[in-house]
Amino acid sequence: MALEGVSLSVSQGAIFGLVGPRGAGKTTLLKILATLVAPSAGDAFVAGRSVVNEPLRVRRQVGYLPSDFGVYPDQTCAEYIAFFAGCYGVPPKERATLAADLLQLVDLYHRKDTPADRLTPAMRQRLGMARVLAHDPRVLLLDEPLASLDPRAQVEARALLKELSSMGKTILLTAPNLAGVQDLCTHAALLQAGRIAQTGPLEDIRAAVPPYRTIAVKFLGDARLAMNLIQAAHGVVDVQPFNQPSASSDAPAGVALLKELRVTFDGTYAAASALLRSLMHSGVQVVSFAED
Amino acid sequence: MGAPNFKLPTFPLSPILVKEMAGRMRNARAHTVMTVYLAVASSLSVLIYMVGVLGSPRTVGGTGAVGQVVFYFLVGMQLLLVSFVAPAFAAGAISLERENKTLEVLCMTPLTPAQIVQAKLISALGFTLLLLFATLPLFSLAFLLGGVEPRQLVIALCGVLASALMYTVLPLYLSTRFKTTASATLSAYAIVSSIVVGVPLAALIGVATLGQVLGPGAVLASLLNTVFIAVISLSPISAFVASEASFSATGELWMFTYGAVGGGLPLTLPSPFLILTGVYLAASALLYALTVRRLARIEQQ
Repeated sequence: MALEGVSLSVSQGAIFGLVGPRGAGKTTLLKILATLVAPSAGDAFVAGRSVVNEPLRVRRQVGYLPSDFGVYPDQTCAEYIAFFAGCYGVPPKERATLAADLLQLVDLYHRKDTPADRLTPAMRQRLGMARVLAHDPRVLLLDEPLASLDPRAQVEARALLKELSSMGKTILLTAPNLAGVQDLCTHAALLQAGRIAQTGPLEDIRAAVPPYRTIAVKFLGDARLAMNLIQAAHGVVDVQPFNQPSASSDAPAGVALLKELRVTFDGTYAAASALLRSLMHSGVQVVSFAED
Repeated sequence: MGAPNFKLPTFPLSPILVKEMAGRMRNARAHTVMTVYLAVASSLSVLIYMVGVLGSPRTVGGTGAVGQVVFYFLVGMQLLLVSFVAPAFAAGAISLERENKTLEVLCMTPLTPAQIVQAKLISALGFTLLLLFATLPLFSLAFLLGGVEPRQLVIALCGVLASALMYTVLPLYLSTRFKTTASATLSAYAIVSSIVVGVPLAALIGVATLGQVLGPGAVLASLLNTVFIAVISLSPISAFVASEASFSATGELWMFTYGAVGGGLPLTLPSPFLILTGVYLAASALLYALTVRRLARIEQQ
């Protein structure tokens, strides 16, 4: 996604949110700051260093966590961290201790000898977080760090980010909506189609933008019952069927069809949890319930 | 007074090199390849020895021919190894990083593209060299039996080492060009097969056909012979065969003398193994530079 006229500054030690829909240019902006994409015009400064003129110096100051990253299947978690520490020039003697410390920080020390590719997505995200800290960067660039986490893991990740912020790290993270950064960021920027639509304190942005979120509910069973339950729930603004299978579907008789509803929602997390509970108690077989 | 505190100097190894080496040696494939290769090379060498020496009456100096056969067989095995096994070690070097979604994070480190490519190259080449050196003790059998001059080892070493380098750098370059390891591996094998087998065959057919079409003529035949020698020098197997044949016939190591075959003028050229070594080293250097440049571009995509 091309960016145009993007200008913003993030103060040291802040947790700053880049919010916008898919394709808004959040990842491109992070990649420019991480020196993985060269800007066609203009410049960006990370910890006082230009990404155009001093990319190697910037890399030493930055820890970048992509939204979707892989691990080496032949490495354990400790080896994975030690390897990246080595890539950043940490002396060999210090790597094992550093890896142990970082795995403890992200609560993965008990998995230090587990092959990295056998971790759950939530654990892998924490391992990625430990990896970005391997060279003690001043700035963390995190692309949708909470996206693949279950609610409990999200709570833990938020606590970790706040702890890192209290350690003086400047954190720039992306999220698809304001709900993803609330209770975490003090400031945010709203990106739309490659431009910054609004930037400032989170409260100001929240006041200017309807805090609607979309929840995708996939389920088996009675669609009408599910729709009635959702419409009656607290915080629901609208419900629409999505990719509803037609009556002339080719599915063999007796095979249940997966249905999906898109819920526009402006309630709290507790309200969303209550909605999920009511669906499950009423016999709707919920297959997935996630913010889109 | 205590013992002097003597420490060997240590060299900082690239973390990528260490990771690649460790990963390769943890993999069962590496041990399987080494076991199969050594088992085939040693058992067939011993078989040749038993048939050639133990199976025939002893004569003074009569084991020389057997020693030569053992030597040619072992060099042939090494050439086949570097041509058809070594490419597989490097073809996934970069494309696997892309497939595993680890390339972006790796590129984010302060390591330069040259450092990354260098480490990947040394790792892949290192394993090939390990396999080559593992068969060196078998060469003692050839020298024990006689019939092989140490100078012949020069021809073999140059051809094998230059081919090992070339057939490691080429797949490494292809692994930056292709998105999947399967595509990179298939392309590498297609190109290597064309060079090793296709080029000498095409040269043979081409020269024979042109020789018949154009008819006898000293100058033309010399020109054809020159082209023929240059072309067969590009394949390690045909270059080794031609160099050894020339060395056996003339005793000249560095130069190749082509007789007046087909009415052509006698021709003296650098020995095919020298041409092969020169061309492969130059091509390897070029491919290495292209690989680094390509990885630098990938970093910025």
